[in-house]
Amino acid sequence: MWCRVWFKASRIFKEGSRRVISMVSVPSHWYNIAADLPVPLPPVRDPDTGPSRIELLTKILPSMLIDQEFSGERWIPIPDEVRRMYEKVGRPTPYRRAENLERALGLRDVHIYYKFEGILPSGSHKLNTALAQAYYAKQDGAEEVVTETSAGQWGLATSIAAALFGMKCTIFMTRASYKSKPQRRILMQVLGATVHPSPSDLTEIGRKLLEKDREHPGSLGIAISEAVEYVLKEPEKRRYLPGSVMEFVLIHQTVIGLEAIEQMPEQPDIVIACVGGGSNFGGFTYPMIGMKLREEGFEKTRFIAVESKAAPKLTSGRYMYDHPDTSGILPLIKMYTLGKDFVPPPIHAAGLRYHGAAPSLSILVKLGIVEAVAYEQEEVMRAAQLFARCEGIIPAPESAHAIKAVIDVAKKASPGTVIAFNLSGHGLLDTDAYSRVLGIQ
Amino acid sequence: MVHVPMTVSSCTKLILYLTATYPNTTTFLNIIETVSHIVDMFEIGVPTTNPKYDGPTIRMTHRTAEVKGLNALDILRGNMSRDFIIMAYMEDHVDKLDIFLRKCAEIGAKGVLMPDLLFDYYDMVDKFVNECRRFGLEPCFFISSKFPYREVERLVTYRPLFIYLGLQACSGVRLPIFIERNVKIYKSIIGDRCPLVVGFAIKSPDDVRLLKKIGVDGVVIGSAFIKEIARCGVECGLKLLESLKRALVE
Repeated sequence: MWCRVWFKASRIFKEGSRRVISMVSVPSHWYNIAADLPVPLPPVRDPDTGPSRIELLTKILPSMLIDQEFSGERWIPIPDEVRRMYEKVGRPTPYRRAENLERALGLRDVHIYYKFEGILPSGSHKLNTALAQAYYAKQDGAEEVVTETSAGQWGLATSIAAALFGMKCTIFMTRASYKSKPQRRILMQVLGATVHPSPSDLTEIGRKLLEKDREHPGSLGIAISEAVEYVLKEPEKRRYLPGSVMEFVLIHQTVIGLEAIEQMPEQPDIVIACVGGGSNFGGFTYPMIGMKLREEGFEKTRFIAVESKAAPKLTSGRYMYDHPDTSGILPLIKMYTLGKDFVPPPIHAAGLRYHGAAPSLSILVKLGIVEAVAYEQEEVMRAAQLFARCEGIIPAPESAHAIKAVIDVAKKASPGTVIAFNLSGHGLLDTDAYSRVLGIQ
Repeated sequence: MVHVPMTVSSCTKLILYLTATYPNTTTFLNIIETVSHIVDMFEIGVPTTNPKYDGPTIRMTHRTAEVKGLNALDILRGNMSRDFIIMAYMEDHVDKLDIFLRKCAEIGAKGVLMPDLLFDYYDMVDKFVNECRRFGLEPCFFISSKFPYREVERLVTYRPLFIYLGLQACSGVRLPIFIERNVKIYKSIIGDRCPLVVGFAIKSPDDVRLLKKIGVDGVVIGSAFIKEIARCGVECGLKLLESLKRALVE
């Protein structure tokens, strides 16, 4: 019932047993799960020593993003200009049934649905928050947006958003991905962004790390530190745009789940998404988890977060206060973390290499409302291959983690089970991953 | 002792936060004596080594207070002419909560506020309330600006002395947060069932006028006062409080 407030919902068709797509409009509001959590989110904190990192946020982030980070509002209005951009880039995205995959797995009356964010021009869900953040940065009078990226999805999304809003864009890309994923880097440059391998010589932390190892593979934590340090050199002109972890990022991504709820022909029993920092997972599942917490639906639905065994914060990390960045410039947040200095091995799903998970997701995992599993990349890429051959879509290696979990869950599911997952991005620029892991030359 | 009832009313109360024995025992007592006719209530912090949810100014007062820990509260005995509550972190007293609360009761405190209770010791809310009542103290609750609505509803059922809403991410640090919106959200949930007190980075008459206008029942001044007395002494702090009080009663 609540959805009707926010949507001009108009289901166009339900076509027999396919029951594939229903058309909805772009949501008018984002959803903030903090209002409905069973326990409060622990506050951000300053470390014991040094200047106030909380105070520093005003020099780094667009002001409206700070407001949203600390907002008590359950429904946050989406500015008209951002909604228009969402429409311009192709929202709402489709919600489809994976019938061929169901058949390939030999499932009996188990339905698998997926929301496909890969149709966006960035190829992933990341554009949903990049557009909002760039809009707010411009509102603040900033000329340049700065960020970090690993696989390149966030960097590409930021580059597109900057181009659409007519802003300069600087990206710190983890060195491992900078080398192994030149396609996205080139696309960022085509869009007008300047891309630096991280660690770089541009910042103090970058120089320190390069002194120890000229071929340091980098990490998201290091790239965040570099981006923030770079912004602080000219805070009046530059704004830092974070790709995940911060609560406002997850809030922006809830357009995915809000659309999906309106598109669902049947309520899922199991909802699955992969986790890097949590924005994809939160964006898809939080509107449903919120309904569950408010006892308005999804009462029996299980929610499963899928991470990489290369960075298993939810399954092997500690729930504690930690910095989201390696150099500790940003405030402490309470989350599942592997430690801010954690440097994961260079895997193909580079978007899942982050050391921590968003505070709201961490608390949901801690309370048992969200389950967490971790997979190795080989088994994940084989699942991606199966999906590609069945559904004709090459999944991003990150999204393939969700597919692996879907397949495992579906095989054990009883008849009548409905599974939904977020296919957060396509893998058309990840041929290196498919080539190496699957041995395809 | 002057009692100004902490109730839901059109009269917004002025509450002054001080860390016990900061900057030293003599000055602390001098401040209490000088400003008691202005403020409606004091919130007195127990100096701790880990003021984890406080901002830089209040952290500094904890670290430089002359007496550390519970002993710092001894100075309050017989020296308070206004109602006061004690603020302390549960982390410091979780293993000896009864000793802490007995001390608060002995020195004449009206209530107790533990800012980490609802974030780090959520399962202890019932125990905290029951123990407070056992010692004749009124529980107070601290909530953040993004607190779950249902949990605020639950807190109201405990009939606390007040619910304290932190307007900012930490004390004394002002971020571009639309505080008016957040106050209205929680005021609408709480209604008239319990006083709503707000604090963090309140520093000017304009600030308190706005907060009064949107219906808060009390405003807490802390970092701004500390900075003012550091700048030019207790008299300057008094002037600040007078200007805030005027804004509240005009």
